[in-house]
Amino acid sequence: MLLSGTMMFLVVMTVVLNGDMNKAVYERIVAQNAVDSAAEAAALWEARGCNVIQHLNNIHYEGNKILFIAESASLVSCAASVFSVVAVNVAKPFAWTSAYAAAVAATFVTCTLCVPAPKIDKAQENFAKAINKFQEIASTVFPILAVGYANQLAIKSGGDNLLEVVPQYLASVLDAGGVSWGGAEDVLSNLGSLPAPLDSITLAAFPWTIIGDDTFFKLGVKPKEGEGLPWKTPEWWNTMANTAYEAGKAACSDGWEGAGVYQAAMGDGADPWGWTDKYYQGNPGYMTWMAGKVSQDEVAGLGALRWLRAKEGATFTDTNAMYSGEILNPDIFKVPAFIALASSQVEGTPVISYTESVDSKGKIIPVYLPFNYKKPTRGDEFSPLGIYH
Amino acid sequence: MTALTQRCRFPETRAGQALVEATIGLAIMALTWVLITHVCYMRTNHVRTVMAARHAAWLMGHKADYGAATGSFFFDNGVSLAGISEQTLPLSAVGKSWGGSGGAKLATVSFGMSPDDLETTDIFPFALLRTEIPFMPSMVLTNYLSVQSFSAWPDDVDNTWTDRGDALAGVISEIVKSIGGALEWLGSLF
Repeated sequence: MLLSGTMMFLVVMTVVLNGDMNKAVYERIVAQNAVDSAAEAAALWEARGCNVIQHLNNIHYEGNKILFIAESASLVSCAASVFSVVAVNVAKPFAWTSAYAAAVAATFVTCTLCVPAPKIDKAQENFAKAINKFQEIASTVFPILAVGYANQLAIKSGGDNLLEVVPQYLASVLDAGGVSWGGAEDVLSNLGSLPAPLDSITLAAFPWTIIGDDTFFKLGVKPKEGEGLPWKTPEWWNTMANTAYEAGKAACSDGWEGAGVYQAAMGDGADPWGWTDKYYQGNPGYMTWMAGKVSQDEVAGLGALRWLRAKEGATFTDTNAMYSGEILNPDIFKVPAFIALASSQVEGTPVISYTESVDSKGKIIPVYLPFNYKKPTRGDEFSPLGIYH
Repeated sequence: MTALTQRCRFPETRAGQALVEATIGLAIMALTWVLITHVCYMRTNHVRTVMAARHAAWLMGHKADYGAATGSFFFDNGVSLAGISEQTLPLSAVGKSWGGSGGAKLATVSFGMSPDDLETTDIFPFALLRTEIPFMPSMVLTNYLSVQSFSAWPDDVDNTWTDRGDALAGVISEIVKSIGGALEWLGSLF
């Protein structure tokens, strides 16, 4: 009986330790799931941000093309109106002829088409400003969305509040290294929640990348001055536009019988004519995320083993621990806190002036840390530190 | 003489005590062995559920068929004890979502039997857990018949708004969700 009892005790203890190991493995996997889903969510929202900005670049490009053609046509009409006004004046003595009527009709058409030239130029300016403003907002908002969604996904995947996890993790690491943590853990534990009213926020995923990578919250895209049409109108075109409109204005509003109609309609020309627009260019860097699980009580409560009724009249809640020496540290008998890392980045065509392939996609990559000696570049498959998850 | 005769007929051995102790001891050991086996089995499968949940959530996020997601994680004993359930979580960057559209997929993978499975012979010809031992109260480990885990993944993760229409619809939806969620959160503070 004694032998079988002893054997059973050993078997049970082995199973308990096995259960603890099992629990540790489980918690570690949950931590990794949490950080992987966070990294994927962040990459997804950064990719969406890149695509939105690329769509806006494309809309800007296509809009500029249409407006350039429209304004050029209007200015050609301005130039043509000069000739048609001359033709009207030449044909004026022969006012009964169809040539005169045709000249008058042509003048009406050309002058009418000339009128909106400066308005088109102004509309283009407002259009470009609006597009650039949306892009500026997108480049700020999408990284925030990435952080928000990463945090939410980490929570939904079982990640715990990092403000609790990190002190516990550091404590266990220091304990393992023989360093006494003492009261410092208590101090850090008090940091376990954000100040009100932010205390309802759980910080389950933390982007390591904000340390040492100043482009993270800018989505890695920056405005760049465009070169060539339709981003920038050539200098000669700007000069010609001014000349054509002023000549057309003079002809249409002061040189023929119908000039009265155009005196009010034709205002000042654009100042200046033409445009030099900016578009967004770049691509986000990699992101490295952290999530974790707080320490757990081990399966059988080995750290709190107690004698049952160790003394006469004692109850289970009395202080009758099996061991109370200095070595006993209840934290040792716990499933430790776990921290997991994952990196992600946006892949596809970078944000450029114009492209038909708007194809940014998020991807989880091998873990990169901010203090790596080499930052990852597109196409990298291996981490310099060789960390995998 | 009489005493000697009695000693010969009934020698003073401890065989009876040994038999009784062995009966009790072996029974307890057998019970312990069964319980330990069950606990180890379920704990191992608990770890498998969390791995399977991660895989299933990943498939759900990619809009792929997740029906066979558990196939690679559990031993196939001819009876599938693993089940997957899919849930779309309305989520925004601030947590709460106003508008109801999905933000994350939650996969829950369970392994084992539900108490309902014990009421039918469809899955098992008989359930050992329903066996009632004489002098023993009815005992069914209903809280350890099954284990389950969950994992979340971003919903519609392949849709990165490469299409202009998707981008416009997505931006509008996000504005509605985020503003609504933020207002709801602010409202909950007071």
